[in-house]
Amino acid sequence: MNLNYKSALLSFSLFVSASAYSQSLLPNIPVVNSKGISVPFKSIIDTNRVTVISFWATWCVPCINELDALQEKIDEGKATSFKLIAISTDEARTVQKVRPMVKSKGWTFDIYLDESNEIKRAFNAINIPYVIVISKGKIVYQKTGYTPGDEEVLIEKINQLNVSDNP
Amino acid sequence: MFFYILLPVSLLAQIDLGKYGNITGSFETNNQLYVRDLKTNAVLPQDRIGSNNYLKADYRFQKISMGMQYEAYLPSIEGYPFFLNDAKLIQKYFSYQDTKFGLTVGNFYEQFGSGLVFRSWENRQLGINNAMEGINIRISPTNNFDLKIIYGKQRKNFEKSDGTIRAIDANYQIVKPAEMNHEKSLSVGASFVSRYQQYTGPNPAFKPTVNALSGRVNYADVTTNFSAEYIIKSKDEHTANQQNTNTGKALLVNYGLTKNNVGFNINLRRLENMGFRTDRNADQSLLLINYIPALTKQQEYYLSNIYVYNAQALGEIGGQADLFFNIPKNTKLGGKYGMSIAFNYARYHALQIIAQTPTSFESKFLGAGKQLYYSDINLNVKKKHTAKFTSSYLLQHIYYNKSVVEGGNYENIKSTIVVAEVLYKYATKKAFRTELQHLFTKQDKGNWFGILAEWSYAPHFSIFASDMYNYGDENKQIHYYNAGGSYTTGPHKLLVSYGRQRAGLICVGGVCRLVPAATGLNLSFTSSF
Repeated sequence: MNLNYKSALLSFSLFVSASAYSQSLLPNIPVVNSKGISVPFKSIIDTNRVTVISFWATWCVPCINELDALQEKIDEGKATSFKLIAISTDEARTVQKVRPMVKSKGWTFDIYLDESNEIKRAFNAINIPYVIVISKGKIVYQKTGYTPGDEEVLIEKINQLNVSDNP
Repeated sequence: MFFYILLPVSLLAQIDLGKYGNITGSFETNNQLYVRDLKTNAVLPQDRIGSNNYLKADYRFQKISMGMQYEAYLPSIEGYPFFLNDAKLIQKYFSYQDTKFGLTVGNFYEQFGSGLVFRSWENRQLGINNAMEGINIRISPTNNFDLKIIYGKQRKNFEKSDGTIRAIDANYQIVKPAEMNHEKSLSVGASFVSRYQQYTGPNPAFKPTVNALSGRVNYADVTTNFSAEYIIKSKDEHTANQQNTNTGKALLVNYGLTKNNVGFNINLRRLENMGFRTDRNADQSLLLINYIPALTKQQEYYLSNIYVYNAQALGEIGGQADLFFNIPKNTKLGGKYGMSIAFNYARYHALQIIAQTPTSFESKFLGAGKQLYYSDINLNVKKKHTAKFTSSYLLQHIYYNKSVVEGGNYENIKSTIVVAEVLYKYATKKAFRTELQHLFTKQDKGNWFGILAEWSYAPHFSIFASDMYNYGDENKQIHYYNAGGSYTTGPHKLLVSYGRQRAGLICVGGVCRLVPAATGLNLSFTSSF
């Protein structure tokens, strides 16, 4: 079979097949808090609220723009109750910049470190920014990349989940 | 054959197995269709297509997980550190993870401390994947003590390394905070990494085993953090270090301070013969045991990524400092939304050599040689002016020793780069962004001008066009244009673009590789499930 045709057919079939989300259970691996203490991943999830996890890095401009936009939404009270966790995928080169940058930004959400990228691999976050929404212990939404306005879509999703959980 | 295997696997991965666990994974394909380009003299490969494909799948059931990674290079993209025209189920593992004990058999990734003594990792853009194949044991007998033991060979493209690694890492938490935002934490750690590779050469005194020992300390409280790591490595003559016989040494020190809306960090590093590989004949980015990134600011703009430093494992001394602060909102300078400012300075010198032979040298431990390898100073400012309008600026000045960083004989380069970026969010989910960039230099290819325009409609669409133009080159002025678009839905993204890539260094996370000039169509698709 001609290679061009094979590649095109492959990409098309996977694009069509990849249109549904898998409601997945959470991985059983540790994550490091900003003090360098390793804690079980499941322990950082708030089981009473929708939890939003954002994979980011200090060098990733779209990641920082997304977190800034979400912090604005939190400050404005635009979203009903949810917990935001930002997991830094900064490696040895830039991990030391996480604390001073976060402090200067005044972000109010929890920050965790994934220096070896083990969590990022477990969640199959190929590129960052990558957002995962967890409700009742399961992943219910995932999003790759960020363009301005994505935070509106995310807040709509969170509000829908909170309504369906508390009718 | 590859396609017919992938399709049912990808459909199967959509199914949640309920009480029997779940399957998750990802698929990534990066394709290039090359065209002849007389302007850049890009060499057209024999097969005009490059295609790198990755399928990863993991099964999890309570404390057990297992998985695989299938890769197909049909053939590999031009400029990759290896050429392959093959497909293979190259990685597989079985793992059991509990709070006190973990066991992984098969392929795994691991890091000790900062990675300066050991790190296995994957970076597809650079073509690096030095995953271990063997056994990884993690033991945590108490809440304060963690032990890692690994044994195995590294992955080398579709084969295994000749050398074998045996390593152990221990970490002890002396002081552990009760809550994340209060009290202090203090930990110490140590690692031992040993590489054995059979030697069949003529020197009877040659030692086939290279050992590295490291010690580290980490301290953090509410406002301060400090860490230090020291590594010593036995004699390790190999191709990449020109058979140097020095004992390897590395020192990495970091100090950070945060208060109110200001954050400061400084790190200092000294390297002496710290290249460490599982094969003494490997070079470039192959079979690296440790991780030595350039400790400089990672840049996001096109022209800032032309002169990028690559760490000199044979010998360098230097460091970088960062200062972050926010002008608060509702102030005269900060305006309604505030303004963020980031300052960075980095500088790296050769070691101060006291005596030298063809295969060794003696140097002052904390001395810096006169030869400057690299320095840069960066000022970033970002301000949101109104709900719809945000602007960002970069001012950067670079000194770049091209002969040292890229090899060869070139004049040193001094350049200044200015960037202005504007984001106009004219509707709730629609935005337009533009960048104007300029690089000033009297050396190398002279001045550059760059421009980018991007329109996006969240959450699905974006289109862009960009150009980098070296109008200051006396010999040849070339437009490096690029245009394309992407469609995103949830965790799936399709990106198509057409453009011209310049020859030079591509650096990701401080590790670099040389890429040739290339022109053509790019198509990539990523999906997670």
